[in-house]
This record gives sequence, structure tokens and C-alpha cells, in this order.
Amino acid sequence: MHNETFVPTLATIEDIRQETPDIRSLRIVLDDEGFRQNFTFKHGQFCLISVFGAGEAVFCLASPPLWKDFVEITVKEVGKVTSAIHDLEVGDKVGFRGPYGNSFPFEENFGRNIVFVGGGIGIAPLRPLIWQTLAERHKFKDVYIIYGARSVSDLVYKEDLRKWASRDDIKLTTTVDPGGEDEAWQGEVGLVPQILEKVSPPTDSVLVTCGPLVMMKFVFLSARKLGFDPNDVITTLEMKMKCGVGTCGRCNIGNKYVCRDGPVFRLAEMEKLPNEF
Amino acid sequence: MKQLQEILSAIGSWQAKGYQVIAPVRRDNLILLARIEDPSLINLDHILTVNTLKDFMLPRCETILRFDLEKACVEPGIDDSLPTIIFGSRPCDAAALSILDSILIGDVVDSRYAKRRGQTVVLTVACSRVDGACFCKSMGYGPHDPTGSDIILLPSQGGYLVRLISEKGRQFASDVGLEPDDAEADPEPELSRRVSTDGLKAWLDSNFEDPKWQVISENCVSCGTCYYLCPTCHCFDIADEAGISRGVRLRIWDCCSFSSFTKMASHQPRVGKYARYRQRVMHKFKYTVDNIGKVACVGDGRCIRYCPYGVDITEILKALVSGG
Repeated sequence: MHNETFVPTLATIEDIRQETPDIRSLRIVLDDEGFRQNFTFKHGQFCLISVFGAGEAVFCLASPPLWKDFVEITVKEVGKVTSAIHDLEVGDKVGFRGPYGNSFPFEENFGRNIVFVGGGIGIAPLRPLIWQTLAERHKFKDVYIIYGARSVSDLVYKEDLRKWASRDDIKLTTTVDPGGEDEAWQGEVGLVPQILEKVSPPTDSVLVTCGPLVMMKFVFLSARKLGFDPNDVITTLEMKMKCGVGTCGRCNIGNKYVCRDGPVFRLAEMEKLPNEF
Repeated sequence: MKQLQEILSAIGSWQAKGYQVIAPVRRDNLILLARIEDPSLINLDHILTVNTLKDFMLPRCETILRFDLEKACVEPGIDDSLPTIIFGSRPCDAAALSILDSILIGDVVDSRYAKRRGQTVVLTVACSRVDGACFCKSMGYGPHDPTGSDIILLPSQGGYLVRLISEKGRQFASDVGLEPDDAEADPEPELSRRVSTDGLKAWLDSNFEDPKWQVISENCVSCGTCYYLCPTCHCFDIADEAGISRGVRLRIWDCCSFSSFTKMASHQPRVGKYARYRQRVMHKFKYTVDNIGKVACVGDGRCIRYCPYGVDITEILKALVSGG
């Protein structure tokens, strides 16, 4: 193994799951056995995945650390690197750098209600924390998951949703935007912030959210309206990143580098930052 | 005291010990820092070279890795760092290295930068002249300031005094037989350009949204000249260049003035030239202060000398903190 800051290690795609027409999840296995065995991360951290020739891009680690021997990323086809990732097949090689960034608070929330609010592919960074919470379910009070997408076909992690729906220790609410429902749809119809207000979880809960920017802005407003303390509203941010370590200079919001000081921020912290996201 | 000729004539023996020497030379009417073979070409008849030491510590473009997909092979780019003497750069450029060191050799170490810095001895020739763009004093440095230098030569009665600043400098001086002097140096030249930073940080802390940002950035054309010539600007891009199966990953200088700098598939957080210019000023005079306790400006004045539209950072700082 080298010790060069920006040189990734090789990894192999072990499995590919098509989540939606334009989103797929990849299961990735680190090639170097020593690195793989010692590899660990915290929920909320991210990695950089390379498709050699196309480039490198940031993805949240979308599987929980307790699933050993592989990591999963979930990728929407939106640009050069993500398109190249969508062209990959099982067995293909990618580059892996990470883990980077801070993580979601966990132990400090023992004994509290947890509310997960996800929109579209934005549930990907919450997924490790959701599974970790469920693995230590007895340490928390009520667990709410509110998850929505534009349409039924845009919901990701359908297998996870089935598993979560079958448990009686999770209050799962799924929703699709108006017009996004199909005949078989049994969930809610409405925008995620509206459904959050309808579910109206107790405001002494910790609310963890991620989704499209516009959704998050309204989730913050709804959380404020419901009476949540901004210290208990936690999210993870996305900015353009190249280095992952706080030196390439582009992911900052004010003096905070999303890659190094984030990506996880509390609403109370974000309210002190300039409005640049 | 030593005569310049005496020091220059020793440079050949440094090269013979395996050091590459980077020094100011005249090229096409510009005085540039460059790797030299022939020490007689060294030209110290300059206020400041056009380029800076970041050219050598954090090169404009470097190969991070090479890949060959057919062989499933990825290997780090060639390590071309060599024991290096920087001779004849100015105090502001050495001070800039101390700022880059704080940023790039911190909690996370930029391995390629750190390797080069570790092998480099900075032998600064202090300024006996300044020009109207220099404002190092206002940034807390000065024409004879030793910050960032390993050895500094101070002008004295037509010759130079050797001052050993760092342990690395003492080690090098002892290796090559360069004796320190303790006589008194000539007084520092006076700088005509001054800008007070009193109140600047406080203003920046509380005025992210202010109509002045639009006004002060009007003349900027987002060309990036100030970035390329700034000794402390260090932002970079990482990009691949590839054929069908083989290629390289490059680290390339990149600039916050360019709209592509922060553009994502999902959104563009810095819409408008003023937002990008604000980032430049905030990064240098607030964010870096918040993060490492230093302003990311050494007052070398290159951005003032070479801006094609006369954008003057000292005037901008004055305008920001002035009332109205």
C-alpha cells in the first residue's frame, strides 16, 4: 500500500442493484485484503469512487459499518462520473478513497425518539444510521421513518422499505408527490414536509433528514413549525468536492469545509453559516 | 558580510552535492523563478519574480497516478521531488510557504507537497528595494522578514549578511560551509502602500450579505490571473486524462473565480461573479484566519501589478471596511 493522499485503492464491483430507472446501488469490495479487514467507518461518512478515465466523485457510504467485507454506494446518473458508474458491470474495477468527513451523532441519542426524513436518493446517507439504529433498537424510544419520492418508481431501497414496513417497532410512512402514485400505491400522497407535519412526531425527538435542497429547506421550516430544537435537527450536505480532505478549496460554506467539518451538520450550526447552499 | 559574487560562486558546489537550485533568471523580459543549471545566469535585479514558489511545491499540473485498465494497474505518479535550494526568492514568497504549510501539512497531510517541502531549503534574499504594489508590512511581514525562510540574506553596505533562521537552514549552512554574520543590516526600505486591517475581520464576520460585494467586484473579469500569480492560492482540481485503457489522473491548479469551480449537477451555490469574488476575499481574510489563525495574503502585490483591469485588493479592503 502506498501513502499518497490522493491515490485510491482498487476495489471490485460485486453486485449491482437497479433501484429506479436512473439510480443504481453498487456493492463494492476492497481488493487489498489487509485494507479490507481493517476498514471501518462511521455512519454519515463518505468516500470518493473513481472510474479511471472518467474521474472521481463523492458518494455517501450507503451501507452500515456493521455489514462487513463490502460497502454500498447509491448513484444517480447525473454527470460524467455517475454516467461512467452506470456503465460499469459486476467484476469491473473502481478506485476507492475514504472514509472521509464527520458522522451522525449516535450514542448521545440513546433513550430518545429518532425521526428519519428522507427524500429521493437523499435517504442513501441516512440508510447506514437507520440500520445501525435498528441493530440497537432497544436503546431508542420510537423510531419514525418518513420517506418520499417524486413517484413510486423513484423510491429507492424497496427491499429495505419492505423489511422496515414488516416490523412493528418502526413507524414507517412512505409518500409520493401528487401524481406520482400508481394504482397499487398504498402509502401517502403529498410532499415530504407536509407528511412530516401530518405525522407530527413528538418534538423532543432527534430529526435526521436528507433530500433535495428544496425539500430540506421546507423540512427545516416544518421542523421549526412543529417545535423542534434546531440542535436536534441534523442533516448531511452536498457540495462539489475534489480532494475530500479540506484543501482543494471548493466545498466550503463560510469557513466550514463540507468534506472536513461536515458533511453532517445540525440545523443550529447551519443557521450560523452564510446562506450559500 | 559577504559579497554576492562570493555566494553565487558557491552555488555550483551545492549543485555538486545533489541539490537542484531554483533561482530568479531573466526570460523574455520577465524575471522568473526557474531551475537553473548555470549559476551565472541568476538575476537578482528584481523587485519580485512574476511566478511564486508554489510553482515548485504545488506544481501547476502534476500526475497523481497512472492507470492501465487492461493490466488492472494503478500506481502513484512518479515522485520527482529532489533536494532543492531556493535561492533569491523574496521574504513575502517564503512567508507564503509558511501559510501553505499550515494548510497542506495539517491534520491531513498532502503527501506530495509535504515531500517537496521536506527536501527544500529556502534561502531568501531580502529586499533592498520595493515598488508601489508591495504591501507586505500591512499583512504583518516586511522586506527583511524571515518568516518561512530557512536562511535569509540581508542587504548590508553593498553586500549581504547571512542569517540562519531554521534548524534546516543551520544544517544546510553547516553542510556547505556558509557562515552566519551578526553585523547590522541596512534599514528596511519604506513601503508607500499601506492598508489597515483594523476592523476588517469583524466586518467580514458579519457582512456576508452586503451590497458592497456587487460594487467592488464590478471590474473583475474572472480571468484568474490573481489566482495563478498568488503565492498562497492553492485551490486545485483533480481530473483524468485517458485513452482507451491507459491514462493519468492530474492535480491541476483551479480558481474560485471560475464559475465551473463549484458547479454541480444538482446546483450552483455561487451564482454570479460577486459571489465568487466574495469567496476569494473571505477565504483569504476570514476563513483562513478562522481555520489556521493567519491571513492568506502576504502583501506581495502581484495581483495588483498584473490584474488586466486594475482590480486592487488594498483598495477593496479599504472600501469594505469604510462606512457608506
